Amino acid sequence: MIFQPAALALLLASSLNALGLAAAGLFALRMLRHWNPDVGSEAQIALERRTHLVSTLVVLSLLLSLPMLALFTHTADAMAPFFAGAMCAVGSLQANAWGLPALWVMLAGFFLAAAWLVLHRLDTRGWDQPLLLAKYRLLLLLAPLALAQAALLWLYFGGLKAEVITSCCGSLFGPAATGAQAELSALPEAIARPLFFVTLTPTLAAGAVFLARGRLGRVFGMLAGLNFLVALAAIVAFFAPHIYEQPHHHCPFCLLQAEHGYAGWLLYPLLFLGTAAGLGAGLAAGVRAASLQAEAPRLAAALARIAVAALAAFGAAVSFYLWRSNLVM
Amino acid sequence: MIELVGVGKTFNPGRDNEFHAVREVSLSIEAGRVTALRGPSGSGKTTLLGLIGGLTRPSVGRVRLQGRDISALPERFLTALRRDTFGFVFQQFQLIRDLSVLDNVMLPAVPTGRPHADIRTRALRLLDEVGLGRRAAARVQWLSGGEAQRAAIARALINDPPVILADEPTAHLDNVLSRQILEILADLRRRGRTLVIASHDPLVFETDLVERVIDLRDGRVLTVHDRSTVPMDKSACRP
Amino acid sequence: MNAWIERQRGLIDTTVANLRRRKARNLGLFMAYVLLVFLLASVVLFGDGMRREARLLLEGAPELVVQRLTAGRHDLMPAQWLQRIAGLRGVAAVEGRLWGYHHDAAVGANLTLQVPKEAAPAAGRVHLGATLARLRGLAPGDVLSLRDHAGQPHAFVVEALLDSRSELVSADLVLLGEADFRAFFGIAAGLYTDAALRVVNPLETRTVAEKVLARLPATRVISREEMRRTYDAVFNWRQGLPLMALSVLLAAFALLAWDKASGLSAEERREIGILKALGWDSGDVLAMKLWEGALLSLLAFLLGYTLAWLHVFYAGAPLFEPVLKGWSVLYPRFALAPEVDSSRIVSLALLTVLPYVAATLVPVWRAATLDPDAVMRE
Repeated sequence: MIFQPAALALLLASSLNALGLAAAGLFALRMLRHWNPDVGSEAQIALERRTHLVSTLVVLSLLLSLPMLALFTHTADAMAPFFAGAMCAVGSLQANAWGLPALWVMLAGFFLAAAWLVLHRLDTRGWDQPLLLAKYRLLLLLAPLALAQAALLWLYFGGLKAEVITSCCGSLFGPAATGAQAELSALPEAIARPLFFVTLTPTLAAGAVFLARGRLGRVFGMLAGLNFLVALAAIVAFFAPHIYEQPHHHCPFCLLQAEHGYAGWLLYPLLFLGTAAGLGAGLAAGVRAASLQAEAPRLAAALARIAVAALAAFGAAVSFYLWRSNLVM
Repeated sequence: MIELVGVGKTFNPGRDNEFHAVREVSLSIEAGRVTALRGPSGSGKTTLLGLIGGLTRPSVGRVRLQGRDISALPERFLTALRRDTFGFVFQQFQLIRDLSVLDNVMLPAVPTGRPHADIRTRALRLLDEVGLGRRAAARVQWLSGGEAQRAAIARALINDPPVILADEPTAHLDNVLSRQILEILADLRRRGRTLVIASHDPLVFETDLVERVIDLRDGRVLTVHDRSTVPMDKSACRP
Repeated sequence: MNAWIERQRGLIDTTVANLRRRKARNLGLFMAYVLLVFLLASVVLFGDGMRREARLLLEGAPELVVQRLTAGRHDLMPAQWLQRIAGLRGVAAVEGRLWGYHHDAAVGANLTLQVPKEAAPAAGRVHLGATLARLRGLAPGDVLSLRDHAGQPHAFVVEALLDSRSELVSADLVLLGEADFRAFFGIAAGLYTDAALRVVNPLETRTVAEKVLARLPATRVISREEMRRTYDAVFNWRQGLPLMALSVLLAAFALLAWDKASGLSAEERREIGILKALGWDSGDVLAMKLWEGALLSLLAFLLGYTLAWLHVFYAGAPLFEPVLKGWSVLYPRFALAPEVDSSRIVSLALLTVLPYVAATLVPVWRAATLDPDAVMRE
């Protein structure tokens, strides 16, 4: 199992990622411990120099996280035939205890890296580097996350045995299951559908208000985060069955398969992009440093534009699929 | 416009080869005038020029540009400021081999994010002005000394900086070529730019290009004459 | 936003100009890079192609194969057993198969003799696989002589050759009629080599297998799924082994890249100093150098992948046949069907580009953060 090219690639990527961010984290630790605002010119130059390396590492990490997420889900999906009882990625990921946690950690890492880059971009635009400490503190969160990601992936691939009988998404998301996922699946459409739109609409509205008048920036960020969770829940609860045209099939991963028109590959990237940009916009809008008075709102606006566009497209795509679906629940 | 207060620069501090290139220099450069730093080799002219232009940070003291302290700015800001304020002409031309003259001239403008077409147009115009219009596509290593120096001046002007800093601009040139270069510099002065020239070439001081002379020795300022009020004293021009 | 795009464009222009003028310097590393991508991609593409072929072949295979076991070893199956299996619910059809191995001393290989389900050759005639025909120098009309179970020579007339497109399966195949088969191997009527089953509902295969075992305990039941998984596992393993071996090459390449990135010539250091003096900050120089790496990687990957593609799908992958097909005398000639798999491309890209980036990141950063003054004074 572990010899597959995809597995080798993921293990290599996550290991290098962990190595890089761990080194950055160590640097952050040292720096925070010896931080002195009246730092001399030589030390300041050295710090600037190191920061270039750190920021490059985080950019690479962010760039890497996207193909890694895609490759991981694709590989899990492709491996499903190997596991008795698995029909899609969920089955493969459940073949041992490490698969799903690895996925969550990857997602978390993606959003945190995006947030870090927003902070970094603003920090370098302020002549007194106002966000330096915040930035390096966030790095102390990114580093262990990267290590956890690598560890989980190693444990997952290393622990895979093809003869294991695992459960398919039906047992996780189906009517007879228990647990949070099952609760979500059981949510009746009459509640889930309005909930989805009732969350998306104010989010888009807050974004529009922010772009037009520069207010509600932080609210927009928070709504973007909330919207992400609600959207995922909604996909499980009512959207997925409409795509599959099967009232009991709630799996969010089967969307990625060819037989459903690769719908997942359109929807998820839009959702992730929109959420990351929205969170970034909220973050930038909340920056109050004097030296960033002009720059922070500008960045926040640019990110908000991306977020609103992506989330609107997401909403439109969802609506389109729902309209096209022949299922009546 | 540019003010140095108690500025000193030490290389390799605390080590065996510690070297004080500049010591306790306080001076100010006025806008729109030509100031020359004069002194023998090793007097700290090049280092001082670098300090004025924000190329190096002082070990002690402060450098102020239009009232703003730039000694402790983060590199990003300092570089952006330097790009917009200063144009450098170096001692050894310092053009990049195997690139065309045009590419070399456009280099300082790349990080500014200005549209490529604009930069190119401006670069061609500058090359015309210094008489290198025909040589735009030539590789720089094929240029003669005078041509290379003119290309370097065009390069220094690409971002339209108000201040030009020239380190020994006539160093590798014969009299005729030197006068050509000095004429170009004089033209820049006429158009309102500030010039700071470091040189020990008597030819530079023979013309009335230089309006203020700062004499240096061993990294310290000896004298400062304002030539527009004091008649030219040829005896001071010693190589 | 526009300024950012223009800046990247300017940086890329400068990078391209730099790569162009320092061709010789980068050539060695570039070729090593291309070679690395080529080897890795060849292994992956070939293994994938083989896996796909196996999958396609297995599609025609019976869902279940039942073999009689006596004292744990494969034994011939009586016809009555076929009736008993046919009576089980869920079994759509049962068919007794006749096939066996024969060691042909002339070519030093094991041949598979089989009676096909339909269009069996007439008495005294055989159909040969193209590889065998090539090895023995036989064409339709020639005579193939083999010694039977009693050591008596049998002469078969080669009636036809099997389609060369199926060479992968039919390399060692000799098709003959039932009577000839039974006479050759000395197998009485009413006995079969094994039984091939078709099930009514493919999802119930496992259940049917269990029923067969319950009714006929002295058998083993092989499912197509198991065969598929076994082939997949074998090809995975066979693919993984060269990949692991190539990881040594990968490490060597990373070392080469690191060495080259660290060893800046005096000229290069001077140029970075000039750029910084002209108004490029460390971030700009770093970005330019990263673009350099990116462009180099992109070109090397495209070239290496294309060459691997041609190597595997059009040239028959001469480099890898032994490892991936297993050791055997009969090498069929076949062409693998090309297929683009985006996840494979991503995997290959990660496996080749990441080591390069990891190896060159720190040296490139060091170069980009050089103090211009220190460099200019050299």
